[in-house]
Amino acid sequence: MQITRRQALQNMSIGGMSLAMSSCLRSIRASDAGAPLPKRFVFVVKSSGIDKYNLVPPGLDNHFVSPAEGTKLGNRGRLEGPLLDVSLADHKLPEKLASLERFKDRLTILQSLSGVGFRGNHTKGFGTLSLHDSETVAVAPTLDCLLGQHLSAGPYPMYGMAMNGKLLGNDKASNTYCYPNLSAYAAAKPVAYQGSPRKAFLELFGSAVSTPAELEKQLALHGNLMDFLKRDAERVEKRLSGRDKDRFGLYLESFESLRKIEGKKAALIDRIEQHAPELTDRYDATTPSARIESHFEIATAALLSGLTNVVTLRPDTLGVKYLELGLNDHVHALGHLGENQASNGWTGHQARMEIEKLQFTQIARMADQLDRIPEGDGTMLDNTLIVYLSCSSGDHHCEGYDWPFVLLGGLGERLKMGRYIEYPKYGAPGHRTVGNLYLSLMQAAGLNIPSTFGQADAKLKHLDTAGPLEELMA
Amino acid sequence: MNFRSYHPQRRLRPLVVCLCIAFLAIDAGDGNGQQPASPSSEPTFENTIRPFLTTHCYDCHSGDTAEAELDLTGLAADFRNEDQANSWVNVMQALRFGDMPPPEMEQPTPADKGRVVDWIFAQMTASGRFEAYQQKLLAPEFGNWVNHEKLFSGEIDVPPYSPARLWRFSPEIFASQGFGNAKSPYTYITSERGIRDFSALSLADQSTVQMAMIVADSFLADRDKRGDFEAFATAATDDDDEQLANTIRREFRRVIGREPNDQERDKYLTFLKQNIELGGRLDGLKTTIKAMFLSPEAIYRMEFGLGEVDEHGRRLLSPDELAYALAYALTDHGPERNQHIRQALEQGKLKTKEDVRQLVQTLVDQQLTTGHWHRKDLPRIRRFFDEFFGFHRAGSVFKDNERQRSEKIRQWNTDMLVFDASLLIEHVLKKDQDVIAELLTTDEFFIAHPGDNVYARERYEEKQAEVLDPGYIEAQVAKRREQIERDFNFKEMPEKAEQALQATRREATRTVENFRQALQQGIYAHPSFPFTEKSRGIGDLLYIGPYNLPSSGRTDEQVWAWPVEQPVQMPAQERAGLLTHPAWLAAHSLNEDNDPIHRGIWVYTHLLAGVLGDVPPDVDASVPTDPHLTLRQRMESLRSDRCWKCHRKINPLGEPFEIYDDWGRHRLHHYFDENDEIYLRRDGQFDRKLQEGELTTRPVDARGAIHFAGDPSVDGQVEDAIEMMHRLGHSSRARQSFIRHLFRYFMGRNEMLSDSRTLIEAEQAYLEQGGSFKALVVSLLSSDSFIYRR
Repeated sequence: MQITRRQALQNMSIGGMSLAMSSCLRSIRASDAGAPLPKRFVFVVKSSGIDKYNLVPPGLDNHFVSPAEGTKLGNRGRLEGPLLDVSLADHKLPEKLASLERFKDRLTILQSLSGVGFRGNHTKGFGTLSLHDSETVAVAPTLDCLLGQHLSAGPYPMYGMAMNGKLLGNDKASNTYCYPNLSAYAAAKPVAYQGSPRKAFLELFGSAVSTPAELEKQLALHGNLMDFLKRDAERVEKRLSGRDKDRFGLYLESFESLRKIEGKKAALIDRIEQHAPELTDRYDATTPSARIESHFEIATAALLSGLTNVVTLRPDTLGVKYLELGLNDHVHALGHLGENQASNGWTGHQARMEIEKLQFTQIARMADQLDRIPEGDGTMLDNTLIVYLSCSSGDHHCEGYDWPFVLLGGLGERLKMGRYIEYPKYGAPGHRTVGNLYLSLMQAAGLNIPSTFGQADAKLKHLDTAGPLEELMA
Repeated sequence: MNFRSYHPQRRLRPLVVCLCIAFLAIDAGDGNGQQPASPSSEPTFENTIRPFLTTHCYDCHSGDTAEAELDLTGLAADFRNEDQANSWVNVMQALRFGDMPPPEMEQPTPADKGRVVDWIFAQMTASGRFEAYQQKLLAPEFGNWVNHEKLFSGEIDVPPYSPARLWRFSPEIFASQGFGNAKSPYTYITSERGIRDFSALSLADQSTVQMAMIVADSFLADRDKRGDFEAFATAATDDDDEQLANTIRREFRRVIGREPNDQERDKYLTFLKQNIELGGRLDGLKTTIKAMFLSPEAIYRMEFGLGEVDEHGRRLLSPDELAYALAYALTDHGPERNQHIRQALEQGKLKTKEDVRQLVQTLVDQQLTTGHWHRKDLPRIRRFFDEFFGFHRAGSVFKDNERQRSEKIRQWNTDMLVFDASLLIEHVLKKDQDVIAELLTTDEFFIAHPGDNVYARERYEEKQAEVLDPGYIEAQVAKRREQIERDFNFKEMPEKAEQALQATRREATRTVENFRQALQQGIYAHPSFPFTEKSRGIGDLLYIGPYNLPSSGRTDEQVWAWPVEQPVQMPAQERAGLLTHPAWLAAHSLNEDNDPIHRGIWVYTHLLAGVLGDVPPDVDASVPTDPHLTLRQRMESLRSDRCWKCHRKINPLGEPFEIYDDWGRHRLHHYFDENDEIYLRRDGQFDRKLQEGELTTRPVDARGAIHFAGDPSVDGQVEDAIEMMHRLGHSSRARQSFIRHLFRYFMGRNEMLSDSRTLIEAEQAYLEQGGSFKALVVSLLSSDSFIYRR
């Protein structure tokens, strides 16, 4: 009997899967039924810091440049200044954000938030999104995972893609799962990122290119495997009691959860087919720009398909060489060049800006695609927030005193967009922290928020570090 | 002492009786040696607790001016209220650990304290809070919370055992399973600063299973690519059961590391057949192998106690279980990889306590320090010393390059410092006499040496003969020329090639001169050790600055008289044991300075079995900055009443290490510049300023004190870390504290009071054999705590 992919997937939906499916379908139809619109996040976490001095719109006082010499000030070197909260509508965007000019009303630049008190020389690692002293070992849940668990109705609470798991010393693009030490569901639960665009495609959109027979076979084998493992684990569970039984329960329950993931994917077959990108050889290209482009393309399609509501992308690492920009120096070396020349004649500062521009171009493409899909009274972009940041805060070495963020999109008008907001210098009255930003994002996403997020900064006891950023909340 | 004497309410509260083992585990009360209260005098808030608080607490902790802003007068017996319950836990801890009342105030009797502590525990139990509290105490950092005096008192006669348990494999076991560079699905959640592998804190959940699936997929894809499954996939489909069972056996061995038993074989055979039917031979086999990867046997060690049951209801581990428990206690492999354990199991010599004792004795006699310099035959022995002392984390403390330059550390090579420290430990273990005191007091170090004197001399003589051969320089140039001819980077670049050859000639000439100069001075030129089975690579003497030794690179003139035979005797007034080794000092330092607080905590918890309460949530961990003061002076603020309650336990133990800078260099003075600001440079600018009299000096104040050794010959003021280590190093308290940590490491759990006999026997074995570490290992691994489950 000839069966369709849809039938194959739905036929394998047995047992506990129906619940998952129905919740997923509910979510897809949410906008039709007048229910709250889904919210999505894309975190783009670059390495080597986002330069602060060239993120200030022309015409505003630039507190990150020496007035006498016109040169970039170092970490902790920014000048004193009051809170700046101005509309971008009245200003041209800085050169490196030129590709986002058309989204200016949905763009907010944040400067001088601090995230201090946890270690990391070139990266805060997990601490970037958890705000804990957690460079290589996950000690707390990260923001992307918390948001994903709250927002995603699809099979993946969040999905991560990275150039490589190793920060330094490896310029090869990963062709499998890797661990960039950025995301974690909880202490000791790091999230693996997919390095290979081809494998990410097959994992997320494989159903769109498989034959019905192949799909049916794989699903049957997977179901049989989960059943077997569950029965096998129950054999051991019978011998346990007390805390050991509770601990073992986590292992046992994981098989049911994994089965549900497949169920949720099955429920999305139509959307997956509709939005799956084309699988071509470009997914095997390993140049940074090609890899970044592929990751953004797959991430966009994953959001459109409802496979997840939160994506975290790691566009490069310190070992990467942007040869296609004529740069024979890896990102780490560029971070140390300063005014000295890179292999193509650019100064270190210029090379760093060109890399950011390359990444902003991809962000603009993603925003365009999301903006083309109507959702509620607006578009998907109005309910998706792209957060551009660096695990190394505002410079190649991450001091964390001035941590820049670029936000693009919206969360259903819960955030004020189209703003340049620069907070007073670290420790000065009115200074705010990255924790305050993360609380803002959580609140805008509909989470019940605690008063603070992450590890407290003992040196800011004299300031109010609780609650969301007033200037950002609509 | 048993539970009964601590918990007089047992007859009234059946739940408490159920938890008797739990109480025993954490040593609930401190009414040591007191008569049990009779039911008629059962403590209540009104008849016992309030009077106690009135007498000892309310004076300071009441009203608007309450000390530490803690008003206890509002504290009622309401354990359902979260805040109130937390305050009671703080009261209980302050009493148990002697933090309150302050030392200068009148002290309650142990019996009075014990009654209050018991009452709080009982209320916690009744309100359902005890389980959460006890769960917290499973972590290694709470090991010392079991009363030290009671553990070693000899009063406790409960037969020792460990709870029957599952223990998820460690990342190290995963790494040795041969899956290449695959990321371990297993992660520790225990603190990086201490013993990592604790059974009750080893979790496998959905993310673990997903990560294991990633490993399995990658493993299967690699094998598929290599054609491993081709024969099976393309074979005739009518294999008989025996052929399929052979496949199962082969794959099970590959993934699980042992032969499957009949039941396991049949289970996987049935599963394989189902999978072949569902997905064909190739995918069917792959799915079956994946199941092995994700099975409980691939993820957990299981210690249920499948052997005989004794008169106390304890179950002996079966021979199989014993073999695994011993193998994983000492190595990162199952028993099949260690010939002694494998043979004992095969020959049926793992059935009794004596069998275990004999096997462990053989293992430590023959393998304690053997193996590759980096891959020891018993790798978990070295790892214990890493995790106990923590010196292996030296590289994790970031030191700025600019500081290195200005403070004249020519090379900051923490890997070498750590290697040197591990050789010191190995040397002490080889002697196996008075091991704990030796580790804590020795001034015999290894520096830029492979640890093997025979090999070191061979290498030196070989290198000397090579370098002093008249043709040496030309031979080096010829060798380089050959390399250049093969190197495409030099293709058609004759000038570049010539420059490289000249550089080689210069370097070779310099090497010859260095050897000649060294010979003239009567010292050994460092021969540069390559990476071999016998030693890690040791390039030169560039990194030895932290030992207060003059460093030199390969082409520099060698100043230090490097001894070809080591250990080398360090100045006794500068170094005494591992805690004065640059590796330990660096690991317990901050980015820009010493870390007296963590050093003090280390000494207090690791050598004095000391107990610290939780850090108050509002504590400001930073030490004030002031360039005019030394770190010691800046830390004076911690001597305020509020801070000193805890810091009195740790600062006097950490400050004696101020005789070192944070690179590990011994020092006698601090220097201050013309603005009276502390001057840290040690480069040419420092030399110039010193010569021109622009710097003033203040002597280093490294005075400290030992307070809690329980021995008047140990307790008291100390001048510096050297005196402190000699006093502590030979103390019984340090010895017992060391044994407690070794117990924790091997058992994968904290001590319970019922482990008392195990600990006492271990100490006796150690002492009877002249301070033998081997005796300690044998005693602990053949103890009832290790071999019995309940």
